[in-house]
Amino acid sequence: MKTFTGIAASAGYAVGPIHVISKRTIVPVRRTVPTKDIPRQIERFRKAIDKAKVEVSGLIERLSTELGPEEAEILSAQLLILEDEMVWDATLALIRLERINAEAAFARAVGDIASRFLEIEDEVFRERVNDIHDIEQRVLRAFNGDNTGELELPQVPSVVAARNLTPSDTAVLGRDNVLGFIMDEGGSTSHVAILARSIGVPAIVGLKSVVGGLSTGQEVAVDGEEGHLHLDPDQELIQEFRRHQKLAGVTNEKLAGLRDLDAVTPDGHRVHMMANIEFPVEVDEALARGAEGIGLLRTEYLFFMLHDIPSEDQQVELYSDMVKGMGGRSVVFRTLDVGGDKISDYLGATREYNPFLGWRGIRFLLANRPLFKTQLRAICRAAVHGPVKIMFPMITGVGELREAKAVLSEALAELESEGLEHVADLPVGLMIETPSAVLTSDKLARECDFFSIGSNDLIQYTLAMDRGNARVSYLYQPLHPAILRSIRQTVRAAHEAGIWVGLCGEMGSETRLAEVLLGLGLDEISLHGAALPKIKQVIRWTTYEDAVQLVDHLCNLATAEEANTYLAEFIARRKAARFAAQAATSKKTASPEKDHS
Amino acid sequence: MKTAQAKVSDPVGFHLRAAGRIVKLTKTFTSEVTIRYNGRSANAKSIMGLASLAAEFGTSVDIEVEGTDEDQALQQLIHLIEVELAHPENLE
Repeated sequence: MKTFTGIAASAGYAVGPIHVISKRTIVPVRRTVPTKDIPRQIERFRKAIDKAKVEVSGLIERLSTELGPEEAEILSAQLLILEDEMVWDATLALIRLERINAEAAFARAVGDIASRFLEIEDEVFRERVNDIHDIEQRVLRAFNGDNTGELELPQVPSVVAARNLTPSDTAVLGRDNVLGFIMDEGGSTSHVAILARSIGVPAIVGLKSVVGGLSTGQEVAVDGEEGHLHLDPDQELIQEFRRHQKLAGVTNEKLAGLRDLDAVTPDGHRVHMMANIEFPVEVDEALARGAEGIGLLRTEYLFFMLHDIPSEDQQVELYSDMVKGMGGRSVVFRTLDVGGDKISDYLGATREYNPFLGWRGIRFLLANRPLFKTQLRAICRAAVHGPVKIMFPMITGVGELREAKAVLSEALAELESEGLEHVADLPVGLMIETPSAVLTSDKLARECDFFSIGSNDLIQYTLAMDRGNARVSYLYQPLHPAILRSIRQTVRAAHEAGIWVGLCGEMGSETRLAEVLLGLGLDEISLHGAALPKIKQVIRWTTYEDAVQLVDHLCNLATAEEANTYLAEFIARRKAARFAAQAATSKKTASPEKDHS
Repeated sequence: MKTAQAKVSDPVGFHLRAAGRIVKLTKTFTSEVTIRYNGRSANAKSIMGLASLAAEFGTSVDIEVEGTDEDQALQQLIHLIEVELAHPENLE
């Protein structure tokens, strides 16, 4: 048995044979063609290129919302290769001068160029040869007139293994016979990771060059919790994995049973559990997981999806559908939060050296008032279908809040004078995601109806760390005393002013942090639907008193490391106590039966 | 004809994606654009040509532009190479 470690991209356990996805490589046979056949070869080349172009453009279009920026860039670079003069000149020259068939000429032309890349002593450049190889193969398939080169799908339940899977590959794969994924490339946000999480199978990515050496049929055990891949697992390990799978099944059933229960601690403290959503289709999932409402509705999707500024009516329609879908439960609309990592050219945003400190969130909205006002009008109009709240992103102080509210007043006055049906007195809140908002939270709280703490950005701004930068990403420390104190200060300011405060960042979906968030006194946690039942479970078996004591202690520790250790010990102690209590109750119920026998 | 130097701001240099962005820009101009680096030159409208220059981060490339829109082309190209390449392109 051999064990490899990659990036755990989707939780769960799987045991089974692997199914290696490798695309068949076409190596064209070189033929000499008669001189009179040369024009026909050139025509075949043009047609194959055109066909490949149509395919790639189609892929870009079809997957525009799902592609990561990197994948999209690579596909568009591949389009440019198809038009590249070096490729064309070399191919045409080979056809004319050496009188060889078009596919062989093309393959050699590309091969010559690729070999130049291989001479470059730089890993990144060498990897680019793979992209060139991909597009070369697509053209060669087009010559054959075959659209396949398509994937061989697993015929028996298997762990799908590949060097890399493109979005189109995963779309073709679907979920049939897929026990899990292992991949040499990719990170936790790659397409495969997202697919695996959505169909509920484990995935390990970033295994470097492990998958390359595997073949279909080999037995593996995939540990999606820790990112371990065991090759040829022994019986003992297989049994252990089966136990894990069974346990996970039982846990899921138990958690599903929680759906209609409230998140109330044994000592009667209630926390509202809401879902973060972005896409209309997520409404049903949120309800299925037992969300009491939508704590964060990101509206960027609509803007990006249309690749244009959506009209007020379009927005009203989409927002209304989501509000209706929630059937009377609260929906918090966050106004457009572009900028930072979500730049959009057609919105007039430009690239900046320091995008996270630049023109984003409320700054962008206040500079684009017509767009901002249109969105506010649409939200107020959609609010006739259910309880809606408005939330402003990236507020750094009271001035911005007042300005934003002034735009809202204008929007309402317009709707009133135009006689359009709307709701005028929607609760207005703001995101607490900058240190300045934390420090002025007492002032902000007097001029709004609620707060929602955006912990991802709050951590990033408070600890001055860019999460996308691998060298400093270790500083993503939710338990850093500065973060805990910031949240506590915000909660206290909100409660003193008599308003509620929630949290809607990734901290909300980390099981180990549930007791901490409870103890911080948050009224609401809004999180990704999948994590909701687990967090609710923790809240239901933790007393508020214990959680408050825990947080008091954590806030007084010196470092995040100390806090991590203390929390881990706290959780272990509580687990042990819970097991002991469970054992005691099961003994009590079991003993009378014993007496009878 | 106009010439200038530009410092490569892309953290991984002129790889395929950076080259693609340069090509997309230069194709919007009618001028001929040539980029030289390390004794080699490439047509800036060819992605493969540019990528095979393998110009590294922080080094300077020579740009040569000739045509009716050469001023504008040069100016925008310098901005792309020196500033915009530092950040990933967002196709949305």
